[in-house]
Amino acid sequence: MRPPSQPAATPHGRPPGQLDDATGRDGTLLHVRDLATYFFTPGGVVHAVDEVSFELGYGETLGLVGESGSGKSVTALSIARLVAEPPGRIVGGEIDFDGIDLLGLPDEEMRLVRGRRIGFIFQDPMTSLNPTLPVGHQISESTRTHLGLSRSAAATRAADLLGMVGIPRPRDRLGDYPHQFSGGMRQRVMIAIALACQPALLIADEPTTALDVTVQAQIMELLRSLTEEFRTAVILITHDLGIAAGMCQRVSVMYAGRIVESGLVDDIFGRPQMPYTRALLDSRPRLDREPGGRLRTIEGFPPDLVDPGPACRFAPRCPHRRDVCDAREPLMTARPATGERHAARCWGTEPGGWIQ
Amino acid sequence: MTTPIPAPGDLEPLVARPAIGPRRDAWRRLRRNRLAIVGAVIVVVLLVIAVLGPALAPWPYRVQDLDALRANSNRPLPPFSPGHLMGTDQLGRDLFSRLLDGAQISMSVAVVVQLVVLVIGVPIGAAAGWFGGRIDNYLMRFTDVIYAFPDLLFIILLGVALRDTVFGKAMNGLLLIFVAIGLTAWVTMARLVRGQVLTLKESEFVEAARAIGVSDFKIVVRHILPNSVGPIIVAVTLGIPSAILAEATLSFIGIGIQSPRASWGSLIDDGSRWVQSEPHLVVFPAMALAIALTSFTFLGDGLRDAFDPKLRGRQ
Repeated sequence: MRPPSQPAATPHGRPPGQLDDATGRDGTLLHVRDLATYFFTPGGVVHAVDEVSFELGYGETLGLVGESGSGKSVTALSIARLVAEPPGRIVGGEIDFDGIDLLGLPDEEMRLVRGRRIGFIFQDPMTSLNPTLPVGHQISESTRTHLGLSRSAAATRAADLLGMVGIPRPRDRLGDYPHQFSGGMRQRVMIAIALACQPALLIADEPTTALDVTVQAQIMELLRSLTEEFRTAVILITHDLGIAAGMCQRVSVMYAGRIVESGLVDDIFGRPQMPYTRALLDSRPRLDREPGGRLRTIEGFPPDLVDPGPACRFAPRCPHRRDVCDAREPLMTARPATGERHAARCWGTEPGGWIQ
Repeated sequence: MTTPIPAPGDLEPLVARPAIGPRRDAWRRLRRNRLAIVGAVIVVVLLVIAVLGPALAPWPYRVQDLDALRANSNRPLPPFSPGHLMGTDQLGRDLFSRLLDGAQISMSVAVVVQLVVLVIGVPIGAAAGWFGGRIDNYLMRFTDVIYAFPDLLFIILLGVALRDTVFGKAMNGLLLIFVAIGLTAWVTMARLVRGQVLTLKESEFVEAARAIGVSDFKIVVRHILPNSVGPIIVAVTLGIPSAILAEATLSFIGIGIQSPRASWGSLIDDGSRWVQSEPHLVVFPAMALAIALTSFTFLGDGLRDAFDPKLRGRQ
């Protein structure tokens, strides 16, 4: 099953940095630069996502981790331009997706990118499927919209996709309604829908959070093998650090609307720089600790994003805070000592800093 | 093709009761509501009569049995007269046959008015709910104006203004009346649909549909409206009695159906002049009207309970 109309010039799986002769582009699928998405509420302007920049290579898997309200989902929704407007609005930044300027695209053309080039998987499979339509229809909706398949061709393709995501007797189940599937099965259907047109990028927004723990591993394994096979780049949003470590090549940690640290999985988990990342890693339950002890928590609360102020956003909760942290927010700076692609936003861990 | 990933499908425990969809569940609960079923049966009978009306009637509705009338010294025949089950009116026309003809009028009111209501109310409500903001504001203020305007006055004015046009003469003047009633009745439907769309457009499956690039129009038509079918059906069913009643009222005050055709309202109007001496001329059409209204109301109430999500899975 190969993509029916994948542009021939699309380079796949080349390491970033290497230029493609035909297009003059390096192996980067997605460039996000200084993305800012605000919500205009009666209580003030919420800076939900601010100065977020990252890139993603073809076929690469990037984890976006962070606590609730850190801006992970808003970042993902902004890429697909699905932020509800009003109250939300993307107020700045650039998103370059495979040479397309997504933020400059007219609505109608953006609609043709969604589902065709960018697939989306949502958190709760129990509510993400239309209860009044058979699942076969819902899978076909994408292929019929974007690939112009006939009704019967779309049905055949839907059955193939259902089989691919591991649903037994796929042909017989095309006419079944969502309530006839269990949660894990529905998430498989959602994956089939998201991958129906073989998009170059798949955004999975906490795909296993609503599922039973026993099903989580199966779904993640399915996602991993399918995206590997299709060379689909993935942005995996999760607050489960274990899943991020198992699935991703790179991880970006978000806090209070910013990316505060990013790097290869081993760098982030082995040599975390930013105190927030360290605290996050420390708050995981661990097998090698004394049983029965309390889990470590991070004192305090995330800041109010209506008026974040000029300080480092983690400063109020940071055990290593100094005056400079309150005065100015640090920039994302490279940390070549701990990893080639490692970067963090922290005064204390910059070269010559006071945090070891 | 890919290597299939082992699925848990075959291993999942079997549920004792087969899964039931929302519509089947509603149907199951409707069947247990005796009153609603009685209403449904009567509604079906009325619809059959409406379609077959003239064929079932012992007399054509406009034919006068002058011999019988003369034999009764030119007075309306009482019920159970030979050949006239419910008697005749003062012109010797068979009352039973005219009631059946009236059923046809009443049922076409039911259908045409609700069609007008759906055709106007659903798009306006859907547009208001989907687009929100200024469009919503304009559409809903317009709806409020229609809502606040006195219905009867509007219908009478429209009837008078358009009486002599082609449109006004179509179907013996009935079409105009039906449309006029529909033009005042759609507001409730528009409000209902707007509310449904407002709720459903925030739902995750709509978000998911946007995420695969489904167009706005298709999202409304294929994802939002099908999920509102329950409340819409209920509103249509409960709207029918008021439409029938409106037509009867108009006919009673002489604006609706024109002689020689008859609706239940105009039959009551005609009979009211004889109500002292010949009460059956009022009683029979009034009973027909009452039975029809109650049946639709029972059915509508039953449907409302059946579709009520709070009762889902119970009873």
